[in-house]
Amino acid sequence: MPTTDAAEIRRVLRQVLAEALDRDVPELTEDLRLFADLALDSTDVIELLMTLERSMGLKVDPDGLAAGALETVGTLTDYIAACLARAQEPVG
Amino acid sequence: MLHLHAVAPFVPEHSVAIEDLRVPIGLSEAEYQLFTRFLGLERIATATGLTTFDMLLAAGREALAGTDRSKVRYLIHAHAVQHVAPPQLRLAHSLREGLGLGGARSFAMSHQSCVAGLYALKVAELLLGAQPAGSTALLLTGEKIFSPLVQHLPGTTITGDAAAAVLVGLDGPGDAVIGRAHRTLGEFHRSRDMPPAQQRRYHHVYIDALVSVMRDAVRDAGLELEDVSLVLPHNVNRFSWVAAATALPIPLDRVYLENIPKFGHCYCCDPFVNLTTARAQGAVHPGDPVLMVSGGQGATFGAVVVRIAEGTRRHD
Repeated sequence: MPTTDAAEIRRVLRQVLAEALDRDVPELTEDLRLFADLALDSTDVIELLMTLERSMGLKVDPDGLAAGALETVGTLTDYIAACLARAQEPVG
Repeated sequence: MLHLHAVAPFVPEHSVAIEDLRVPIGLSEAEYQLFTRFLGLERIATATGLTTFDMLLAAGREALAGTDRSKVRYLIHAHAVQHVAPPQLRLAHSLREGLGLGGARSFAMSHQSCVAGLYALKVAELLLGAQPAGSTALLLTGEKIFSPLVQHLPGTTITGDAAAAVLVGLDGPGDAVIGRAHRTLGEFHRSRDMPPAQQRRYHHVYIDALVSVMRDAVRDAGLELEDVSLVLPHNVNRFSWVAAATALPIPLDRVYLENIPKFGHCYCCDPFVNLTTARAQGAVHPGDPVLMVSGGQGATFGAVVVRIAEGTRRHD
């Protein structure tokens, strides 16, 4: 079952980002800003999330994403953890 | 105080699925997913076989139907892309002739990108202040997308074909313009030619600037945000409006997002198209203050508060 632990999510994020961008990515701390500090654009972030959907089994809710989730590594990690927790809730 | 005597949109019946635009405008798989899954775009209004002139003429005729054309002092064509027709065409002049507005002066205005339509309301109000009582102005907004270069704004939106005509006067009847705010952040004037770092800075300040101009327009109207019954936005994408609604904050159901998946972003006529369809759907009611908002490349921002009138001519 995929983890919802923040440190583990950051580790996976860093690995997926490095592969997607084909460049070294610094260690991800919570307050790093996705656009200003990591120089990502919106297409990069969407590619990242789609990769995570495939590899971690999360289901992205676009409206939830727009509400501040893309500010920093920390907000994105919280958002991913919430998506993963929802995906793991028993159905029925 | 400016009143909107009539608002007449021209939205073509035909639209194209973004799936079918992937090759013509060169969308990568990631961008296709971005537009359709995350930005809320589905179909793009497409006026096959029509020109900008055709669309504006149709909208203008609808707005002028049954009115005294001799009272029209100005015809203003507000457009987003700076060059919408070959120079020898003299588009505004041809529209004046085509609409039988021999007593009107005609001119075009741009350089406000997608805020040009809302900004033209201010220009019309200023000009009409020097004209005899009962004078009117016909504002024509919109344009035909003539190239993939202006149809695909990477990571942001895909544009469609539409137009709107707005007949305005300083006297009623009609929806009343009760507040407005405009702002230009000139440091971003290079738009798509900005270097990547500046592009990122623009994306970073975009929502704050949009929200700020909305707040200023509401304050100019002497209202509070909670008084606004509906925001009638540009149709650039759903994502940015979810972010704006969160930042204001206002409930997302007070932002009219119905047309984003149907038409795409039709440059500077979106708020007027949205006003018309919202009225037709019963989403706005007499006495409601609504907030029309747009942001444009370059970087321009504009918001206009309009109080919905009883019995304004409807063009559904």
